[in-house]
Amino acid sequence: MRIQRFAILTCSAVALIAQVSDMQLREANSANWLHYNGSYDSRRHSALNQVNTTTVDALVPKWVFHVPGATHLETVPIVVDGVMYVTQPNEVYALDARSGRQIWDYRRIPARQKGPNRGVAVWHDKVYITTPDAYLIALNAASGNVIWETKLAEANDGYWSPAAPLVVNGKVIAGIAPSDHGLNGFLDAYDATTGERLWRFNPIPRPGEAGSETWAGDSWKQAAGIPG
Amino acid sequence: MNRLSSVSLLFVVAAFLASAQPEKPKNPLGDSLQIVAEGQAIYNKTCTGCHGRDGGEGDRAPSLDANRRYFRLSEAAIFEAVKNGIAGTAMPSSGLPDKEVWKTVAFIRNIRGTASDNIVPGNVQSGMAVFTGTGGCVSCHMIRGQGGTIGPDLSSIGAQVSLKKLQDSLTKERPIPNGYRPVSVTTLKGETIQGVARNSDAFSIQLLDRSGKLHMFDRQELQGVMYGEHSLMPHDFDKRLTSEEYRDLIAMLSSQARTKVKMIQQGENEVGR
Repeated sequence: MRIQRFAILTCSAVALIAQVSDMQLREANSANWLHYNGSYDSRRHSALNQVNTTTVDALVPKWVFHVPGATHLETVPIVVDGVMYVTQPNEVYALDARSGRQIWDYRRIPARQKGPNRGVAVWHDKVYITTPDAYLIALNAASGNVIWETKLAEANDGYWSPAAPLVVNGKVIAGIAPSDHGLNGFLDAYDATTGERLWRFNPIPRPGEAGSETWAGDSWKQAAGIPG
Repeated sequence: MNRLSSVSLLFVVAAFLASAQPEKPKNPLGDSLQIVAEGQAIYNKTCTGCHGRDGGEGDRAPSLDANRRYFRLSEAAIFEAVKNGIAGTAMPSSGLPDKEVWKTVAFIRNIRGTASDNIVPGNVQSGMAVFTGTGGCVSCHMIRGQGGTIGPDLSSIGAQVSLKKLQDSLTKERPIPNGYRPVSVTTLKGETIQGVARNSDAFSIQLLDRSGKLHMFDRQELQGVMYGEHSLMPHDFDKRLTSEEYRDLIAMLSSQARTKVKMIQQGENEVGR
């Protein structure tokens, strides 16, 4: 069969495939693993029961995917309808969960060397990751194309982000990892469709913010807060 | 002399030798568009007895543009080759005065850069209108989050390929890029799905269809897999577009450099790979 080479050009509409709905994220169905912690209440428990006390001794490897150049991995694989997303700093790999074959990869360039990375969040047709240079990036879930990227903080000030984001009601919740370096942390919410920042919460109140009177003098400046 | 003084003396000598190293000469004329244009004129007059016009391949000498890797990358190394020739090869001394050699160096460095390193004539804004409109590119390709997914993302294309390769992609049939081979599969139920094979092997296939949806099959679940022999990318844009539209499209694509990815390191390394 000859593929119609120009047929694609005639289809002007780009279909948007809604993959993960808010409802699915709330239900956290066992066939998928849609959150870093498995569910909004962070149970980290799967109701799947094929692996149990009577079968565990018969486990054998089904496939192996070598994450290129990996030294240590702290990613939680996210699984959406047969696609598995794994990460290491600056990189995302979408795999066929049945075969382990790679579908696409995303590599941030230039790649600031700082780790680890703990995985992606998923919502609708997008995959979200934070980076060692403190960006939040939205990728197309089917192709890995960058849809938008938003700067969380200034990496040259020491900020970076290893944590897996969390999507709640169309907002991507993302933070940074400053407390190891004596910087003040924060927690942000971004519009999951556009990447626009919606709010920022400072766990250590800045002067004038509620609770700031409990921080004497300039002590709030080195208070850190928000673990990575 | 005791041991301490000997060590100190060694440091002094080493420091003297280090300071005595001559600096590698740099192009005193810079690499402005005018210098590059003058260099191009000198090159086409002087070097085309062996090399091709505008840096292309000639009858007796290789192309000098960004289609391969080079041993001579730095300004100083190219200057040396043009000025004095390359010993043991057919490359002779050009016999040009230094000023003209430097202009030629500026031109050669320019053609080795990526498309975004060049000043490309054309209207970038109009080129984007061609991309999203008459060119039809946006149904397959994405730029900065807008567009289709069945072709490669072009957000950084100007920083990834040379201007010549960019022009070739739009006007000549080129090999199918990895992960974009056209494929049509038929399931056991008789359903046909067309798209590109992002990956495939003897056991499984990962297919991205025209609506941007992923399909993953074990081969056992399919009764037929047919691969297309040609890239889905049309290569007659110089004909299907007006010359202005084509020029503007090239200018727009050349300017897409979201991420700076140099194909060729233009550092001061005397020897490259």
